[in-house]
Amino acid sequence: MSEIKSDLLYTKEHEWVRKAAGGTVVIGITDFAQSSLGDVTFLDIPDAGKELRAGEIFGTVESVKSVSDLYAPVSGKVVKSNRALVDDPAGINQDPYGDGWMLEIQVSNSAELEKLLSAGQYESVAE
Amino acid sequence: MSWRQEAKISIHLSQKGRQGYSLPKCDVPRTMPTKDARETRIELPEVSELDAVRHYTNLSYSNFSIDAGMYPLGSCTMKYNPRINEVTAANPDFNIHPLCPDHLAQGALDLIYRIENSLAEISGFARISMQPGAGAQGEFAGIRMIRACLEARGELEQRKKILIPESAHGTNPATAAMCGFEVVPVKAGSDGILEVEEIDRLSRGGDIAALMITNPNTVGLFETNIKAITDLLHERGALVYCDGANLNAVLGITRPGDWGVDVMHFNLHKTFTTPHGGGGPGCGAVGVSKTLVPYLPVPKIERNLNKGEAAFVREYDSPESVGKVKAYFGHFLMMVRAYTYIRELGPEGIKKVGEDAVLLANYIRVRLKGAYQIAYDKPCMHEVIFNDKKQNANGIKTMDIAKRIIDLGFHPPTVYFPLIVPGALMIEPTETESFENVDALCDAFLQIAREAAEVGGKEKYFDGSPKTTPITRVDETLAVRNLVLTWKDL
Amino acid sequence: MRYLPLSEETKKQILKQCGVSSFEELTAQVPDSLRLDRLLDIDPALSEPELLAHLKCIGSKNRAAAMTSYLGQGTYDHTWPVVIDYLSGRGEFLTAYTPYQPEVSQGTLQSIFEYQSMVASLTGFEVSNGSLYDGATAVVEAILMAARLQRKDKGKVLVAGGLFTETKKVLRTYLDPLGFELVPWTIDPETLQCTSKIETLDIKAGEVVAVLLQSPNRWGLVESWRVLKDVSEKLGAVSIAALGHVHSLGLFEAPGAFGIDIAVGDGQPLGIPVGFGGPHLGLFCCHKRDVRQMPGRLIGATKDTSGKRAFCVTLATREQHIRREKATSNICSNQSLMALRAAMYMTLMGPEGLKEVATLSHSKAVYLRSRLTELIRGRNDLFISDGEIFNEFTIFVPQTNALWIDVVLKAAEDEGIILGHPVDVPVSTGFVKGLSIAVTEKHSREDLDRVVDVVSQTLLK
Repeated sequence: MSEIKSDLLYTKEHEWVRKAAGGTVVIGITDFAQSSLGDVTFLDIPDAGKELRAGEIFGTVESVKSVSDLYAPVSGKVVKSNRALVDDPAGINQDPYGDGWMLEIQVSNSAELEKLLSAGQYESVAE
Repeated sequence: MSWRQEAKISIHLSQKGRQGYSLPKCDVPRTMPTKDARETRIELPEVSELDAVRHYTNLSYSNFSIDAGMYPLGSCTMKYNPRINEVTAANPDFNIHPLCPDHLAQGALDLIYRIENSLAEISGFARISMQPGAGAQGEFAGIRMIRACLEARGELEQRKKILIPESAHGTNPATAAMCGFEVVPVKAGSDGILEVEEIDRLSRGGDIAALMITNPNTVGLFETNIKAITDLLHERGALVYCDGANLNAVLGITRPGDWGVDVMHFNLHKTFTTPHGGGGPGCGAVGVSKTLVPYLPVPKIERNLNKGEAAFVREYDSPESVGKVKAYFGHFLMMVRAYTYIRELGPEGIKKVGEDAVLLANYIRVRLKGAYQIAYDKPCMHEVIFNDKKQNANGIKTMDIAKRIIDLGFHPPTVYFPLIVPGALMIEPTETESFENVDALCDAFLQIAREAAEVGGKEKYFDGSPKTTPITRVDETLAVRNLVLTWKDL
Repeated sequence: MRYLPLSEETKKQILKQCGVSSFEELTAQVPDSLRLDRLLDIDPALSEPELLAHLKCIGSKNRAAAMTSYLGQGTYDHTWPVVIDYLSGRGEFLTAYTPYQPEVSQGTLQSIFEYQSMVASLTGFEVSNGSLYDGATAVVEAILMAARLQRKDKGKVLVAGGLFTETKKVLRTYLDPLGFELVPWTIDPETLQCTSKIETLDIKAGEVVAVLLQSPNRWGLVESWRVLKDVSEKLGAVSIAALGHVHSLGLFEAPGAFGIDIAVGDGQPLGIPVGFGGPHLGLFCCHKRDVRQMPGRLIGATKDTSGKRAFCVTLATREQHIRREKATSNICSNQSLMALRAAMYMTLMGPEGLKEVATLSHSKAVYLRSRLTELIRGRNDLFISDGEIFNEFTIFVPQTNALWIDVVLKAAEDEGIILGHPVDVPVSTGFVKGLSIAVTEKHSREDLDRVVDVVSQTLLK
């Protein structure tokens, strides 16, 4: 049984979204995603400053035998990028909702947050 | 004695001043570069010949090989590599430089001509090129020719898409991308083969360049609708590429050229016994229909009957040719091996290859289908595909089955391919295996199924396998996270 | 039928077990309209003795086999320690599959790891892959990698004028459909080498993804890796060094020492037969920082569950079986058996052997060139450059003596010598063609003196 945190929002592509202060969100991939992937060997995410569009691929996460694309859950500008995670991606497996955070994004269209899944809705996706 | 001793890295055997070579003395004044002479160290081992022989001989003991045991690898066609092929290829007369003029290389050109003609007859294509060095390069040549053809028709701009079944080998989409095309995935029908309706639906827009089909496909089934599909696509102005990896199944039974296929690559290291050598070299070759003949790589080997003594020439004058996919003419010394094999078999032998391969695969199918879940419950061609669903109940996965069968003396079958069958176990015996071997393989799989069904079976039999090999399971994550690619980093 | 052990009885038994009465019924998925109703029209089967005689007969038609050859252009006829044939012919190496299951493939994996280590040291780089098909396709792959490193999918490539002709042809086939523009890096007509003077070329910094230089070049002349580095920096492009002859690294400084980004070449001279063109061996080296964009199989060291050192295929996520259309290349196989031969060659030769064989080839080439230079002194219908070479050099002819090359080749052939290969030359040099001659340790002083005699005969006319 993978862990799903009730206070977060989710996407069908197994990303989690946490609302932060000042109209930003922090994102990462879920426990279900990291356990399906296996040991993460490589992470490719953009630096701060990059503009993202909801639904577009912004990076990739790799394990020994697979590669998965990462999809932007919302549109906006990247204000923080977890470079420490890029240097050592083990945090994605060990603490996907904490140390495994990937980007902090300044949301440009708050209406997009309505389209995200609640914990309950994500539960049926992560089966 | 060095049975299974951990082989040292060769550089650690090195002792200054030792040599393993024998070169003639210099009979002219010795010279040196006048500038930019090498100053940086060349780190190669200094060993005696015996040390080198021991090193490699002991390393070889850690390798599984066809000579030692069976590789039931689906889609790999790991049949016996006849030793006579090695003898004919080692003939010093064949070891001539590729740039020799035609009239001094008549033997080599004759051999290439002969194997081209044999493959043309075997496959039903109008013409063959032996230039590609391996299957993937043959794929590139094929798609490249399709591109050239569409460009000549003035249709390349509108036809940017290639249809590729979801079950295709990874080289297929990689090749399409290398030629500048977009990949459109195609789903097979529930019976495992492509449906005309689906191809029809996807090709109505007139923007399809080609379909890349594997036949028999990667789940071991013959694409029964192939002629209807090729006819339809030709009508719509598209072309058809066939991945010839599974050619072994149809040798002497049916021919790709008769299916309406425009181009197909051969894997001579599968169907025609050129040795795998631990991962290569392969030997590619492509066959084309009349439509694509003008685009074949150069040079083409032609036979000139009125040119005095010289009969064979390399013809470079082919204005619509795609050019060259590799230097020279292909893996010539592999062609010698494949030609030797084809000549040994003759027409009756070739026919028996296809029949025996299919029969043995079906034998495995009926023996194992009770114990393993079969992906498609009907007769297969030269390979049969199961999955691990029945074994999942006790926590056993395809990877566990694969590692367990090593301890029972067999190389694992193909696993986790194609991707459309989760947990795939794809078994191809090939016709060079004796019936007893195939039976023993089935016995091993059935034993594993029983072990998987036992309470506590996972811990007892599967965890920690393989146990009888020189090394146990490797940490592949560590291999990536901590990249050690040369002995300097060890 | 020694490779087809299935008996008629067993065949019937299998059909019965499958619940069918005939093979046609078993293969009902093959439509009748597509079934062959005849035996294939190929030559009849031969027994082993007949087969051996037949292949021998075909081989005997290669008149070149009995002649002394001075052909080169990227493929060189060297000796190799004969024990390599025995060791690489062991069934455990010859008939092994790709090492996807590391527990049963340590022999292959360790030998390719050692190969990678040796090639990296030779070229002065941190990383070598497990080999590609040949030198020409390695150049293609280097350019594609250069584009990826620059995060572009196409662009201009500055291509040195001295590239082998075969390589140039292969580049066009791969790069034209992808929208790469090959811009000629014209040579200095006096020295027949590339220089840093690129102002006259139609290129700007930022639009060039890669700069490609081959040394020695196709006229045998040694080019400067320093110049390559210089020009790539000026243009903000990736530098690619193509090795004309891998043995030259025994005498000349490695491209890695000059800070070059990627090195490629053909490893055929490392214990691999010329074999009428293949199989040969594509070398590919880069820096560790760029390794994720490197094509081809890569072997890495790791540990097994008991802590023992073990090797496995690594960074497989670059490859086609995982990345599919986003793979760094469509390549599936490597030239494993040829890489094994090269590894054995480098192990047996060691640094001293490699330096020695390079010195032999170099000294003999210099000897022949100087004797021929002396022979043609004062003439204006033949020209030999005195620039630095490794083991290959070119005799150039002007328009007025254009036919001499055919004349000398015919005269040499009558003496049992294949005197080399015609090569084209830029018009700016004032010549129309050249005859490229390659010398190796196989040529004795007597052989070389005979060449001088043959050539001098053609000058009397």
